[in-house]
Amino acid sequence: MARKEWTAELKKGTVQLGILALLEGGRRYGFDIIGELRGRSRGYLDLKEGTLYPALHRLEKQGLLKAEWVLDEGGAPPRKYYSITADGRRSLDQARREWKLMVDGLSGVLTGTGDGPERAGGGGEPR
Amino acid sequence: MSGGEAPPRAGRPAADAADYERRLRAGMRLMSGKDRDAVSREIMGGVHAQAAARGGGFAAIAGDLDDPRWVGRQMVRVYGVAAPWLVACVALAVALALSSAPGALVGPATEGPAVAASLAGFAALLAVLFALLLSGMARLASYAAAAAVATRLAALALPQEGVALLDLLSAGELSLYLLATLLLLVVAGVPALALRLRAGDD
Repeated sequence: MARKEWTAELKKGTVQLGILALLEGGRRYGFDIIGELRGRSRGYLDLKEGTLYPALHRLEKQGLLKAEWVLDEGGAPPRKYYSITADGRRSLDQARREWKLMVDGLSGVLTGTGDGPERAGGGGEPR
Repeated sequence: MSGGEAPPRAGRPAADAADYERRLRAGMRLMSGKDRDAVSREIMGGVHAQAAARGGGFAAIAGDLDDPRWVGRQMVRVYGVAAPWLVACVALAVALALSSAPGALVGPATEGPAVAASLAGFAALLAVLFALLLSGMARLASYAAAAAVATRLAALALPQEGVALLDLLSAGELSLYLLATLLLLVVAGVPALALRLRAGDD
């Protein structure tokens, strides 16, 4: 698999998690979310509009986010702000636990330091 | 991000914000007007904010944006197809399914022209289902397929010169007819189910 495909596969699923985690800190609008995700992930989550907005709207439809149009001061056009719901917080907590389990588990596999039952029992050799 | 196709290769960037919005709205044409307006307003607000932040106007960001038609299609997958399009699509599937029943358009059912007409109708029906699936509208494809299957089964009772199609077909022809009908469910139903399991269809 080419590097680009690896990156795309790894990013799948992390976008929604990133959005929920970001909005845990307060409401934000689309362009603001793009910039914050890019900054906090040190450029890893560099989303474009074709990824961000469908993800935001899907999360809103799932009830994990709520949105409201807000008229900013200074005559700027209204912006749609997103904030996390109670269901969103619960989903985020669950996702964080899953994420930790996955990272802990995978790091054992990737670094070869895992001590699962196969290794401990001396098995794991292909038969 | 949940499933979905990868962004297409960057094509010709939009000439200006109005061109971008026109293409975005074209990509969302299957959505309801209300949803289309709200989504367009939000995305265009983001595009303008990005251009303002870059300080060079729309031209400075045009090359960094996704293909607006593709963006629009992604939103259709979130919002689904508006009722009038859904009805039109199912009606087209019903019409093609009816035309794929031997003798429905050209009679008598067991003669060459009728068989040729029914094959053409069936091919057109498959083409429509494939087109819907390739556009990522798996749920719509499954509705159309279900309507087509129901129509083809109902068409067996269609009287042709006083005799139902069911009685005109030999056992072998009837088996083939039912097998082809089942194929419609396989063609549209299985990919729809697979896409739903992957999450993020229409």
